Amino acid sequence: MQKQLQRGRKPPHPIRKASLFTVLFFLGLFLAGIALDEPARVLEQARQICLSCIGIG
Amino acid sequence: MELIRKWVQIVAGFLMNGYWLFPWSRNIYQGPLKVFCAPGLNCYSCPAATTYCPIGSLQHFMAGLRFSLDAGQYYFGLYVVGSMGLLGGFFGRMICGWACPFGFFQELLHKIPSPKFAIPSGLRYLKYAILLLFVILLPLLALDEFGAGSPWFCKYLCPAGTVEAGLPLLLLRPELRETIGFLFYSKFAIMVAFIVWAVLASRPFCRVACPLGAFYALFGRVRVVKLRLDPHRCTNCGACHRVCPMGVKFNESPDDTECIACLACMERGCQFGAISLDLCGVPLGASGTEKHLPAADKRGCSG
Repeated sequence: MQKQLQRGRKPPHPIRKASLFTVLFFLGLFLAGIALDEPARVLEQARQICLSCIGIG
Repeated sequence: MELIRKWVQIVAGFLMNGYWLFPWSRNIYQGPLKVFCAPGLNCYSCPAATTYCPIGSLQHFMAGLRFSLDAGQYYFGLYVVGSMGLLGGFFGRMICGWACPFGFFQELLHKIPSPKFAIPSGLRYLKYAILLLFVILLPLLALDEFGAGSPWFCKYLCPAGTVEAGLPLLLLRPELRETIGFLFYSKFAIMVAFIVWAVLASRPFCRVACPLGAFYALFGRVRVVKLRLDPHRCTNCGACHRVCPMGVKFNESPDDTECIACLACMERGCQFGAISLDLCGVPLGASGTEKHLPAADKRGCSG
């Protein structure tokens, strides 16, 4: 009976741990960037038009 | 599902380009939303852009790294790489298929009736060289007389920048037209070449030259959301090859780095329920049932 139940049961789907570790690693980088005040630098760059970057000037 | 994807592409395009006051302000958006990363390739000098382009920003960090270190500021671009990695870790190249405005633009171009051609698969590796050289190494190492680097990809290659920023800014500010020269014309020629190629072949820029696509492709095996192949249901009939806009042979390489998870193979290709969506190892969607054919017909369909 026990064997029959085991046979009928679908195998469990293992969680992909590599996916979770990858996300956690980049979350760490993201938070480190915030700690280094990089968002302010990003905002400063993104608010300016870099004409030579788009082939003008 | 294809209709949903189209709507997601449209909404994502509008969210990333939602500043429609630019004809009056004659300037780009400069508000606080620009601290957020655009998931797709979307030039932040586009007058309507509301977010920053990760590839553009990363090049600026690389180009200014020596200056910032000399000034005692430790700006390595971790915030940008972290943002890109979080997006890539969750979605990988699914972003190319669902949220990249330039990818959507190429899809629309490909709908123009014309002879269609395949793209040689070996060209896919060019985008990794572009990522390494034009986005990281050249901005970091090729310095001018003042010790500053340049954003090489934006400056010399990016056709999205020409479409979204170069041309609109020339229309918006006529005084800039006097300053254009060889650099602009060469970028314009690159843009025209990719536009013509996108009419003739499916997503050529994504497949051959996009450095953001190359970065997201690195997450092909480990991304949270991905497509899964059930080998017990697959008959190797090849239907998934024929509908794939990226030229992926899904039954042969289910972790192919080119897969943009547009779900065309799952929805329109596979008749046997062999392809399903998978969230961190847990299957979602249509893996449970064969869609149309009974089991007896599966044996007959192998080519």
